Amino acid sequence: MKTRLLLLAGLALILSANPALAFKNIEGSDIVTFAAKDGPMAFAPAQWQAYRDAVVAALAAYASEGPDPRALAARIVEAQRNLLAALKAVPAYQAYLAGDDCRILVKLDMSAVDTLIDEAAKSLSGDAAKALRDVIKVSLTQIDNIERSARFRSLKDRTLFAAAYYNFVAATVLVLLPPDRQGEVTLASFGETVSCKEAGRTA
Amino acid sequence: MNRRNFLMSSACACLATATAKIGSLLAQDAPPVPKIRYRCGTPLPTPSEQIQSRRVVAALRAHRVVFRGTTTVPIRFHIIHEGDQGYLPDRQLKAQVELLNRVYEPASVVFEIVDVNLHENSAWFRHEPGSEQEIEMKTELGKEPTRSLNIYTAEPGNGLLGYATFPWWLKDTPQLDGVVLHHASLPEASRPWVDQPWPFDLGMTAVHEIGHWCGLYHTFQNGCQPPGDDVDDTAFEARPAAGCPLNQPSDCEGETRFNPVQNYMDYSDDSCMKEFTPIQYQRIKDMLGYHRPELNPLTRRSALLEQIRKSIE
Repeated sequence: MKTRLLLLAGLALILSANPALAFKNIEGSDIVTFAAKDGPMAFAPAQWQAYRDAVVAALAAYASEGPDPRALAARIVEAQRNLLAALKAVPAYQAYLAGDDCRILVKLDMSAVDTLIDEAAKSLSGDAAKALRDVIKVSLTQIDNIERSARFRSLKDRTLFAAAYYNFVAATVLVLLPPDRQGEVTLASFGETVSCKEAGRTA
Repeated sequence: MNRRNFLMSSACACLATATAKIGSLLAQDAPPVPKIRYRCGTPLPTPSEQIQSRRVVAALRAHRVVFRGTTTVPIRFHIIHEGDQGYLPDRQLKAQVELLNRVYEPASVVFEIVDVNLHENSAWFRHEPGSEQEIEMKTELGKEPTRSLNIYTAEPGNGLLGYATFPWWLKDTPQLDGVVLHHASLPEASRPWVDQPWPFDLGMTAVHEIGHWCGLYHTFQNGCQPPGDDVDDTAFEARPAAGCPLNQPSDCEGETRFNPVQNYMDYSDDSCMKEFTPIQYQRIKDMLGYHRPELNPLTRRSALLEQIRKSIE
């Protein structure tokens, strides 16, 4: 049993760090929603701090390790998954997913996003701020390229696919904002949102 | 060969081919009369490559370039499969290429299968665009991107039927050039999921994706915002079509034409897709001639094209 659990944990670690998943994470929307003052669920302060530390460390390592935006994005996605792991085990999370509180970003307001990135960059070193801008730029360029060149079965599929990129960006920027701003910023601060039900998000 | 060397050698190959004399392919022709564009809303910032592709078209017209002769596109099929999943018999590939030849004939483009290879690889079979798996798959399998079309069939998931690279990306990332198709999008597919509707098995995904590979945008590119899809004879379209909603007025203010749901570059069902417009065919010729000159003996060594490249790049 213990061996099986270890194997499962190993597999989860591999999947969470899978470069295929770099630059996107639909669950970023949950992070932004739960971090808001009146969020339906809340992170323990220590978990939130650990998430922030992990993102800052990944940004700091960027220049010395490449720089490789894909590796940086993979590390941030891993930190986001680690943050959500505890909450996802709670039944309330499934209720949240099925309920009206669950929303995702489906369109970025680039002017608002740029302002939030500038705000977040103030607390970072020059190299880390550059890393943040780089990873966001690559993420948004990638989804822009895919949207322009791909055929999806439906607009709904296309929207959900793109949302994974936008919500990754939102959750990355949010944690780098000054603490007093984090509770004020909602998903809607980054752009247009729709309910998870409407978007067809099931997990 | 590693990726950097591959990039370098491809870039050198491009430079080497761009220095020869002008051929007889380029004839004089009158520039087309500019058409009035319908306008609605405030323009969004335009991506620089869209501006660049407009500069290319403008320069070609200014120099009265007309691409003549047949563009022959050798296709290399890379069939990625996972056991029986994704396996495609020759008859499906042939049916797909026959369809392509019918559709692209007005642009004087001919497709020929030159290579078919099977590769069993689960990670590549279920890869996502932009992933390490896509890069690995294409870098290992792709061949002669300047002189052929690499088509990868797989099962990308997430509702994706296919995706492609644009011709102006070839210079910087030749190793990623090509088209990825869902294996069940080819004609005569045996559907693995008979319980679900699957109106995408007539081969139109390949027509659509190769449209991108030839430089076409979606008909709903930029929504109602000018310049739309950069093609004057397709109506502005606010969003992709679903199914086949014929004769629907456009939601774009000032647009009097119906939504172009029968156009290959929309998202309609396969059975609905029936046409490229004359200006789309013209753009295919322009973009292939300019960005993929190796495919046509008449464009391969054009001094005029090289001169135009130097003047606008």
